[in-house]
Amino acid sequence: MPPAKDPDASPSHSPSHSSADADLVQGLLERDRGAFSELYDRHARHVYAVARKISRCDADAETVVSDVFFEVWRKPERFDESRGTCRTYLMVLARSRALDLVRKQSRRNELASGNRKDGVLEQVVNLQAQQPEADSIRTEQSQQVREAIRCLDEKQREPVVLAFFGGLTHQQISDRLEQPLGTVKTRIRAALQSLRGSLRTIGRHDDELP
Amino acid sequence: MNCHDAQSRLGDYALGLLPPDEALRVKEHLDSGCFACRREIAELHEALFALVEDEPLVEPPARIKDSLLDRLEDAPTLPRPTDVLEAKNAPRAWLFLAAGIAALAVGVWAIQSEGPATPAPGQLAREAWQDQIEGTNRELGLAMTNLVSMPLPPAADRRVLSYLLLDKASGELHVWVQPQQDSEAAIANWAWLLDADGNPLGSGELITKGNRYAAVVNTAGFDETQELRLLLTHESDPTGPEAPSKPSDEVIESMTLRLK
Repeated sequence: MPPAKDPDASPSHSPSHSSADADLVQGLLERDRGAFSELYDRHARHVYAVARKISRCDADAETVVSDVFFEVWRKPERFDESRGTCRTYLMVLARSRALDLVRKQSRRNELASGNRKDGVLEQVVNLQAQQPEADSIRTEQSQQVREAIRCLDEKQREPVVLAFFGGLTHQQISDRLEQPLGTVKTRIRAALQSLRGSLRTIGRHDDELP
Repeated sequence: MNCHDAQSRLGDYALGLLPPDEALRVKEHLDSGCFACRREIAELHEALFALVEDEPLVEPPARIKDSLLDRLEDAPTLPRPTDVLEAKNAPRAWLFLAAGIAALAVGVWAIQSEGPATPAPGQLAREAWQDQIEGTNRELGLAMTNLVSMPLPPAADRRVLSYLLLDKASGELHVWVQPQQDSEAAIANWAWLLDADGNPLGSGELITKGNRYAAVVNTAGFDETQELRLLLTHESDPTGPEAPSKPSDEVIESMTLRLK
């Protein structure tokens, strides 16, 4: 098992971090509790953040964190490096679990009708005012990825966030934003085209590095 | 689905906006190992999750980690189906595995409502299966059905992949068959449920659903404690004026189900 590291000491997407994550996942395969503990320390805050953003409920978010990490302990072989980083894998799991939880508890209707004052949309509006001080320690590539989605027009970003973190359908987003269905689809399509264009630019830039 | 078709859907797939059947086809393409699409979906996810990372990150309560570390002690290491198959090394071992899984999964319904405060190891195993059940229901877009068996991983001695789903609302058993390449099961066109004496209790035609075949068998009136046998057969005239009344001799696949 690799030596313990401060979870913030290395950037989330650096090669050394990815390599250390791979070592930790290998540790899980060997049923190493120390590896599990370190993996948790490294990524729990991000998993918790996804769960809170979707569930808007600390208790539910705690359940999701517990479920996600227990899942990865039971089935570490499911992590596939070719499909993204370990952190992204854990966050995808958290998103799926949190959306399931919200749906089971019928909160989706509340989100769609906008009854919750602390809903996803308000979080979107608040994003620009909450730039983290920790940005300074993040890698250039991660900054560029963040910049790609930050550069989205607000009207494009709102429906994307409602779909991804709210689990809403096109029609529900249309109802929620009081915009025609066609407009919602067009804006989501434009947002995705813009995002993918930005990511390709970043990818080409990375490929050119020695 | 080819790479070009998948590429045009990756954005909506990442956002969860695709209809279930299209989402399944994109997932199958990703599962097939397409590196370009896997990379793109990973990048999309990373960018979308950046929205979370732009907010101040909060440490989850310490009790979560403490509780998890306690649970690790009790967590069973579930045998992977491939391990079981290799251990048994029997040509039809997967049939027995399917039957065992079916019994276990059905048992979940009766047990899950009891809700003990501290999960026992047995319950954790059931929860693990329940996770797979929910995942498969999501994959197939069948929100109103309940799985009574599991999709089984590929194996050299297996001719088909099968999903068995029981629709509790209508009392129908959905039989999904995915023929393996160069498999005899490609010619199976009828699904049967038989009692212990071999008498047909219900049957249905296997109809093409994308790259799978599916049949719906009405289970109304079944005694759920009895042992059933599922047969996949080839019938010479499946579209004739009268449905076959008994299985032909051309049995493609056979498995035992114990519902309780």
